[in-house]
Amino acid sequence: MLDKRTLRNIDFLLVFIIFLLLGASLLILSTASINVIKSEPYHYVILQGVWIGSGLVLALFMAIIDYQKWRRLSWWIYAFNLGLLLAVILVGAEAKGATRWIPITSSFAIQPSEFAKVFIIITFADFLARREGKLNRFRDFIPPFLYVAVPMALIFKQPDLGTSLVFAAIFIGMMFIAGANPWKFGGLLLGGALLLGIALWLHFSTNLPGWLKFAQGLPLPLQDYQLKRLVIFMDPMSDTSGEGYHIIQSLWAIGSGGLWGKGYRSGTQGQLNFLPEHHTDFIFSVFGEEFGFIGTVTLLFLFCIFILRVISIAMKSRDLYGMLVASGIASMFTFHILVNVGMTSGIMPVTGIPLPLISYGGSTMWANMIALGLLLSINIRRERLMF
Amino acid sequence: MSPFVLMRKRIAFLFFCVSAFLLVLIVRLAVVQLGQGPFLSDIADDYHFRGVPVAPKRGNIEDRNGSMLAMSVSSETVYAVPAEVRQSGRTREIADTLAQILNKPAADIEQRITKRSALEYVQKRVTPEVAAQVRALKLPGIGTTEDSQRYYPNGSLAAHIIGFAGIDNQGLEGIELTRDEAMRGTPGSILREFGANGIQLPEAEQLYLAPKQGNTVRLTIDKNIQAFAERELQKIMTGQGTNMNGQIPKSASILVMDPNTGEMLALATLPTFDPNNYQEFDMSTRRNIAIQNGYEPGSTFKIITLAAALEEKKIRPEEHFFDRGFYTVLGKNVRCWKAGGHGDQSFIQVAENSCNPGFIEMGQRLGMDKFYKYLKDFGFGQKTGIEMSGEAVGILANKKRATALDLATMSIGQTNNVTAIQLLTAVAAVANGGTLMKPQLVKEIVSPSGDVVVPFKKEEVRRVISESTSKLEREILESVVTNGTGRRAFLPGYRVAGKTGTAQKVANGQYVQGEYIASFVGFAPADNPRLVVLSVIDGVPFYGGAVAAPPVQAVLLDSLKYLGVKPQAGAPLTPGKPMPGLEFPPVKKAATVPSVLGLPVAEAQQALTKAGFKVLTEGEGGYILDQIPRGEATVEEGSSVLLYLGQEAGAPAMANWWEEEDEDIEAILSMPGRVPIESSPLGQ
Repeated sequence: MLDKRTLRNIDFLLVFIIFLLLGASLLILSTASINVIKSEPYHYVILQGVWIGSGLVLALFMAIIDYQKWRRLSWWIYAFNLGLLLAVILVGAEAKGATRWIPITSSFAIQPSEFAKVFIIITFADFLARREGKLNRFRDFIPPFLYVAVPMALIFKQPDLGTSLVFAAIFIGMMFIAGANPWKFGGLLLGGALLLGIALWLHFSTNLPGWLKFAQGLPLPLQDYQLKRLVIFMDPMSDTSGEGYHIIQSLWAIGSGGLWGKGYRSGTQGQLNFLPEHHTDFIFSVFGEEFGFIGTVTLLFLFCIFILRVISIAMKSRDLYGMLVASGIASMFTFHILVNVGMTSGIMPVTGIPLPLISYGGSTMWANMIALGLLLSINIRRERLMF
Repeated sequence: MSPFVLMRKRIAFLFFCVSAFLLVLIVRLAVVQLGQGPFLSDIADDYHFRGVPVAPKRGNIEDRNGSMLAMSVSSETVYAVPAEVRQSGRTREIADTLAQILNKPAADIEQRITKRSALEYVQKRVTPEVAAQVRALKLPGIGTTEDSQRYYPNGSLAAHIIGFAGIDNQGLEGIELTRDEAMRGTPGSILREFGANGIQLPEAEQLYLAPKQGNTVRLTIDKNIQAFAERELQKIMTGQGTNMNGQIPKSASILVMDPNTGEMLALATLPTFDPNNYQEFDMSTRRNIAIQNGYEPGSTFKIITLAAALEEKKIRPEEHFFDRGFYTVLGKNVRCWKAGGHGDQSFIQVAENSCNPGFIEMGQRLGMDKFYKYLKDFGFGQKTGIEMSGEAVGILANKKRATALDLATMSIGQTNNVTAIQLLTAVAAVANGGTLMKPQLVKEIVSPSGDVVVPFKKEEVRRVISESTSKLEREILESVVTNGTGRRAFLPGYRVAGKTGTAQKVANGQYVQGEYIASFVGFAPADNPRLVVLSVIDGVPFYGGAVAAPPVQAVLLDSLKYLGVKPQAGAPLTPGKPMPGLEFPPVKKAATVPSVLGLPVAEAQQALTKAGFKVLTEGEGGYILDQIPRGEATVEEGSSVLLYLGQEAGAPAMANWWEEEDEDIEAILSMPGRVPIESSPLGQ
């Protein structure tokens, strides 16, 4: 099913950018993770190499298979996804107050929520494609919402606020592309956001006038630390050693970089362990400290081209299903990049989601590779322009 | 295909939103990394780079010949890293141990070593022995680091110039303050990497960044000349001043300058303080009166009037002037200090006699404009720019309001308020050939390796009078010392020029009766001045020439000898006119007095007797502190030599002499109802 002609369809620029980003990941990890396990400075670099290598095989596999084939397995995949997420609740391993992992061996565990993002994209695309042109009324929005809300709720329960927000981004992006009435859907989103804002405000309010007294300190279904993290970025100095710590340390790191950066392995914030999670969620801060503004802008530029190519694949897709899958993937990557960089540079809440293709992590690397494989599959089989 | 077109539009719209957000991120990164970068970097370093600072050795202050005036001696500081102390779990024990060694309450120490900070000083300035003891105990989280402490080996010598540095070796006053930057150096540190938990990383490298030592400031001050000046002041302030009859004035200053370069060789003021423990002295002792206080100079100022009159050719030296005993200005008679007047005299004699009507005549001939021009040109009413904080500008009478009577009183040194340093620089300009120099205290800045970083550069402010006027006036002023009112500063064998002055003190807009500021300014040798010396004694019941000239004479003599200036062949050995109380009969058969300074009494007496002199002694002690006449002086054969005995360095002293009348006081008394400058409305 693949011939030379279709191979020529491959977006070589995208592949090139992907390899550049993966190379950057290894380079940054070789400085950012060097002090995480003192006895094995290259532990994480080697492992990341393994994840990248195996991930590339996965991507190749996904690219070769016609993406249309997954449509028939849609409900099976959806069920498998829910099963994995339920398994986390049943047999999951707890770490840092959250249960997100299913242990496979003593040193190896998978994080189903990472894969759940890709699974929901594949299955939700099929779900939406079947409702083409039937997303104009408010009540048309309910089935898709429930479809996504179930796995999302399971992830939220872990708790993993960041990943559940990625689900929201995927949902919104795909709904919009699938043709949801922009006024009604947009209005709904705005209303929801407004309600959320008011709820947060009420939750944190301490001195309301009498008629609103009853709502003061409104209870919300989130842990206090999660809520605090959502708002602390607006004034990190209010709690320098508590919830503001991450943002302050990250800002100091990025700020210390200046224009040219302190140089490879010369960043003190990362090297001295002041920066938390500096090989995973806050890897961008290490990069910013050691490579400066030049480095961060270069990396953002690469990501920008990356997103542009992913979106262009979505636009050139042969059918609506492919377009929706590609848009879902685009939404996922974009949300990850923007929120991660926004978080490390202090203009977004600390939600703890990794920088795709750069942050260390096996599950996230594999999930991203599967997504990229799918993309290439759509890319190869795109609609040929008529000349 | 139509829904596809719509969807592609939507994708494009999404991409637009994403791009906009990426742009926001880039702007944000630019703000953080480029805008706030240096600031954030600093606070981050402060937060976790716990370099234990190693203080640089503060540069020395030396006199012009390299004698040490201020130096830094090593001391050590005991510090604690509270995080490590806490982690050891031995806080109590550590505090108790340190309390014993440092002799401090254990509770205080415990509080310090457990503070929530990166690094805490436990005790500054400990002796090397104590520091070694602390180190030997190897207490967790406790260490020592090099520090230095300021030490002034000469105590109060030149204290006002040197100033002092505080506990952190920061300059607080004097040269210590003005040249703080040059001497401060750059601190080094022992960089220790500390992890986020505050514990020194075990395998972290310890990096030693050597501190950069501060530069040495070499002053223009000559320690010996400064010591001569302070010795004279000490005598005055302990009631042993010549003609002081045991009275102690409020304050006294002696300033010595090299008139050719503006270099200050001595600048001494009493009362003073010891910079080693400046806190124990009253704040008032730190005031450098010679620079921060103004006074009415009296007759010393006539030097300036004379210079202006000569330069403007308003008088000729040999021209005659008749002093009737008073001078009438605007219907008021300003009397001459000598009752009945000096009668007919040349202007040279006017100067010699310090004749008030003669100087008033000069002022009137100059006129207001010219007089003020010279006031300004000689630097009055402006800061000299000497490197001392708080210099006063003095107060000049407002030219717009000044009357001919004011001009008259200004001509003889009253009405205007000047600082000692202003008068000294102005007289130096008269002495050096006519150029006003900026007085300087710093000769050069020398790096720790001995290279001159900032060399001395003399600074000419402006030419005020011509070379020939300067030469003429030097001769006239020499005549004042040889033949006139300045005879108390006469030095046999040296050509000394000078002028006395007495000012009545002003308080609450009134002249204070019976309390004067006596001053004398002199320079030598008169034909090629090497030194200008000004003494100002505040709060004496007596007149200028009597009390202020002897210290100048002593400083001049000691300094000239010290500088190797030989007595001149043509110089007179006796004043032209005998001084009351001290006669210099003409020499019939000359003999040279041997110098016996510092010798044991018996040895000195033997040497003098052998040379054919009679010996008189004064005081008690085993050694010769001083002798009159001085060694190498040519005197009458077989005359008496007076020896001063004692245990420590003394000063030349001369027999009591009483000047009955004073030109300035007479002038002041002759002007009833004049409102002194302080209360006149010109300042407002």
